[in-house]
Amino acid sequence: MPAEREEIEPQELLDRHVFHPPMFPNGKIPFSTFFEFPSNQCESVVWRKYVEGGLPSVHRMGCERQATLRARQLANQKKPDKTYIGVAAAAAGDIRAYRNLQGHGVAVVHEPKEGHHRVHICYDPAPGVPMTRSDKNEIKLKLVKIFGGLDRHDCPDDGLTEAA
Amino acid sequence: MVSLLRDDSASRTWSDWPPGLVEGNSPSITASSYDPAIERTRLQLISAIRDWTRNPITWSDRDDPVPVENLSAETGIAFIRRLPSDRAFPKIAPDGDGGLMLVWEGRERKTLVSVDRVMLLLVSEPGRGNSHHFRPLRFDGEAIPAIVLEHLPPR
Repeated sequence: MPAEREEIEPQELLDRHVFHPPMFPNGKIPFSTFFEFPSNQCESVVWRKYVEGGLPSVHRMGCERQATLRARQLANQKKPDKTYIGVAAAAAGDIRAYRNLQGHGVAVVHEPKEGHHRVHICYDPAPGVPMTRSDKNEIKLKLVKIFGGLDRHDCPDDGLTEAA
Repeated sequence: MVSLLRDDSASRTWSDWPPGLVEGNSPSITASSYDPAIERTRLQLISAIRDWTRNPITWSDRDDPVPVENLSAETGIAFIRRLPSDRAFPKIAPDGDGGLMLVWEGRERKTLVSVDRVMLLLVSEPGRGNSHHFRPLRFDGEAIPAIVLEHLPPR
């Protein structure tokens, strides 16, 4: 039986796992864009309410994901350097509330098929108004502000650091 | 537009400064305004854009990030080369759809320029109640449109 979607109340916290900030040659970090929506795909975040153990468990999920991604990099004969660095969090209501002047924004949708804690953030265009690349990039910038700072986390050493 | 994607950074030394004179098309670097620190930053930005066409980056858990398209990269590189030395450099990032985001977050002014192939998409005060989206501007790699320069904070 398919899991039923739940309404996400405005005060509910949503966590975005953030990985490996790529560096410039001088070690400076380029502008951080947690959200990309490639080819208009939705972006996945974690509904903290449904992660037993709260934030520490959200971090543990990030480390498990890192391990999976590094194993895949190794299998593909790539350097296992994918690194989980923490979460950025925002309230569902704050994410939904933003609309740019053209009326475009994002929708916040429970996606229990991927796990009961999974939530998707998807472009939500204003009816009848084309959504341009400028609109999309403005939304990405705004989401970085709404999600605010990063709660940093270092995963336990997996023995691959030297190889990375 | 002359291809700017050739990766010659390995063969370049500091004695090659200023970069870009080989192409003879860099009026932003003149004898009177040359500043090594500024030009070093300029070269780092160019190097990053170049790299993102081959080695795409992402902050997400995707293992197949979208590379910056060559044409968008060339336009972005030409923009950085042509940026006058009295204007602040942007923070830059791939936009996840093959384009580039150039972001200026000055104290008084915030500006977003998206690079989409040969087009520059200017938004002043993005994300704010007074934001304004300008019509797309074609950039020929030579002169940055005046309306864009007007919206860039000073260094």
